[in-house]
Amino acid sequence: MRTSRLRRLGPAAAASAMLAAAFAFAQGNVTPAALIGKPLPDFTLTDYEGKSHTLSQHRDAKGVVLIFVSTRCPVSNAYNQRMVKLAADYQPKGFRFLGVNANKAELPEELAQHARKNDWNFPVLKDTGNKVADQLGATVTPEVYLVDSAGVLRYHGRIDDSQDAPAARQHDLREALDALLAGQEVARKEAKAFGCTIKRG
Amino acid sequence: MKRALFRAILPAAAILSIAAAPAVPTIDRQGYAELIERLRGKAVVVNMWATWCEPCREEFPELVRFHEAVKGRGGTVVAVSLDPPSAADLDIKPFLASQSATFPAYVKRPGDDDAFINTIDPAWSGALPATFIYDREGRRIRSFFGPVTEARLRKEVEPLLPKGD
Repeated sequence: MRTSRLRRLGPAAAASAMLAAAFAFAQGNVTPAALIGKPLPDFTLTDYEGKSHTLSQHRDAKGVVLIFVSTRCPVSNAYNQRMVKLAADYQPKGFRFLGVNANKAELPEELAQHARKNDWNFPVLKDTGNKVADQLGATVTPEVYLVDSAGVLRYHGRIDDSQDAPAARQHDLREALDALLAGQEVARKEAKAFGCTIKRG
Repeated sequence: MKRALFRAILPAAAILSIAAAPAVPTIDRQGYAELIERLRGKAVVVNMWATWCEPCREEFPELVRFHEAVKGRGGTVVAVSLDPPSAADLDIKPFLASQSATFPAYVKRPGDDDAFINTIDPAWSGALPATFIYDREGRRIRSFFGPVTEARLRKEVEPLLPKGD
């Protein structure tokens, strides 16, 4: 619908809209909701061991779960075991999990220590200068971006609906993963939760 | 750990003031809408915070100072904690007492977080702290995502206050 409206307005308006979108990316004014259903911009980051990871290198996977995390945020830490369980359940089914840490003060050594302490079974990438957080409009930890095998954002937001694991009733990320596995549309494409602000540099 | 330390060093006078401090009632989406309606006629600054949120704790003295500056002039602060209600007596009330906060304080009822966040401001991600300014008609006119200062709040709210004689 948006595309057809742009067509009616002509190439100048379309170019203007694309420029505005590029400007929004550059300014970090992106809202994740606006990215749902669209390909996420590609990026390359290194993990705490110095290994490089590019989002598009995972196109052979069923999908990629990006989770903005923190070593110090109590909400993010409340989900440590649940993130490990989700990765253990869905990585064997063809999904890849990538943690992303964009907090300025949390350095790679701290990320490594935190990952070892919590037995994390997925890499954690350091988003120095929060460039990827800005591109994706990420503002909170934990915050999930689930992309499909074509790199299209299919779900954004919380892992589930309670910081207290036994109280969780809506398992939004798990349901989105199951939908992708079944080749179905993700029913709930975005769900928010309270968390810690990403401390930008 | 920090909370345990905070409680351990809490002076006796503060403990007495906690006991005397008003209750921290729970609030949900509907209750929030009713609260904003009840406060029509005042310029209202709502701060969303939690005791587990370090930037929120650091920001709090700014809110207290701001409230002291506007409370007799048609302005108020309301604090809504996103801690679990079970934290009301153990964490929230002691913190409010330690800050000498005299404005109304609530704790959000668990559940329905997505709807609660979107009702207040669809642009809000749920990251804490967040502060929302309502004019005297109960309209949300400004949102701050991240810590605010007393000076910034005064700049935004002073024009909303009733003019003095």
